[in-house]
Amino acid sequence: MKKTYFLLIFTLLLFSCDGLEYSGETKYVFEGRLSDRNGQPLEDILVSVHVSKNGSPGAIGLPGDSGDYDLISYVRSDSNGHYRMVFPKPTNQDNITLGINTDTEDARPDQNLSSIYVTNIQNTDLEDYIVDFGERRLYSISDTTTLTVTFTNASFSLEAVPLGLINNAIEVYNASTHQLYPANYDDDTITSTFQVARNQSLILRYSISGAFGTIEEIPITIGNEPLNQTINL
Amino acid sequence: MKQFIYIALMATSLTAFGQEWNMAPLEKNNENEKSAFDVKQEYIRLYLTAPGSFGDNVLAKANKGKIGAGLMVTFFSFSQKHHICGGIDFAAYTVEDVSLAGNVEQSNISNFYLAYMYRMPLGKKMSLNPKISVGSITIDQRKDGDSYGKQQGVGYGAGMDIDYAFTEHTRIFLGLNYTLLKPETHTIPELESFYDTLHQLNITFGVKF
Repeated sequence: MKKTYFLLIFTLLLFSCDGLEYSGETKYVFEGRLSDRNGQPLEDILVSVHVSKNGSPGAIGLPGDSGDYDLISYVRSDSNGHYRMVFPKPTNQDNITLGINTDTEDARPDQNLSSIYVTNIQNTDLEDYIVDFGERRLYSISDTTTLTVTFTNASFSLEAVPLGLINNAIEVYNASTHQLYPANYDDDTITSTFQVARNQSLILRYSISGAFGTIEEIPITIGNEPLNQTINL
Repeated sequence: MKQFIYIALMATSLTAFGQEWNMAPLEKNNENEKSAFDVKQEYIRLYLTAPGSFGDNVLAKANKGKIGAGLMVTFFSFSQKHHICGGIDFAAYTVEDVSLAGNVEQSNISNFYLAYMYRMPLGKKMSLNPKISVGSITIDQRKDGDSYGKQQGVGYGAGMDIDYAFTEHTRIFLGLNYTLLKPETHTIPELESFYDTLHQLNITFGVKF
């Protein structure tokens, strides 16, 4: 009888071990440079890497945060604004997220500056073991305005979800708030609000779920004043 | 499983050769001419380690030695000077630079090694014992009891210890061991040597019996 209990407990423990796993032999490298709006290097900015699975967005504060992630590395930018992190390759994840000036379990970001998430990075993006994120600019929160995006003619079978404001080929959300999912969902209208830097050009990426599930992008020019952008689905 | 096999093999070897050794005649020299070899030779060494590191590599730049321990047994001896030994060495390091090592708490290095040791008498009760070794190493990065990845590889060691015959059957020793660790690593070329060529320098203190 004791053996049966032991085997039962052992089996339960075995199948409850669902944590993230890593390959110590493979070392990934994330690096880049941070600057302010004028291109001056930003020192002492917290940069972190989260690894997640099972659809978790992979960082504190992102919608759908299920807590099923690891903070696998973090560093602060040096006097040249440069940062570099080396961390073991995750083997059973489905998302690696770079957070620039974002929350971690141990530290708070600079509340006066915007933050950037680079999400949905896969192992297939790291066949050379490195991602150079290049120069990223953070904006002063006092230099931001509001972008409200309204999707109209939405329906149960045709709805839109903003995926973020993008730069280059990787999804980037450059704002001081991290509301990637609709704030309001009222009958046939979906509304999302972003806080974004003034006087810049951005691309809004959104997905339309329906018969074909397409991803769309539109350019948006931000001025000094709050902007309402309407998109007819 | 691998560790269990190593331990089992060592225990078997110890039993087999220990019996033979016990039956070997002790030195029959005159009492006044006793040297270090007059003291019964040891078969087992148990020791504690102060792990260290140096050089431009992740072990030295991102870790700080914490504590270690080891066990070495003698398999064969020839003319009481040449010894073939095997051992297990474990060293724990605390991770101090997360950006280089990953967000883990510890790097644990274990080394299953085979060694050749030469024994040089220094007076009546002391001896100097240089040795070289080669072993199978594992670097295990851990946090909160979970493994954050292992690296396997080879360790090439050289070192020596000086011992003192505390009693007829027991010696204490102090040693210094260098090990070149070559864990398997895949990363960008610029960082390969930083992660696959590690220099470990350990101070050991223990007992032989």
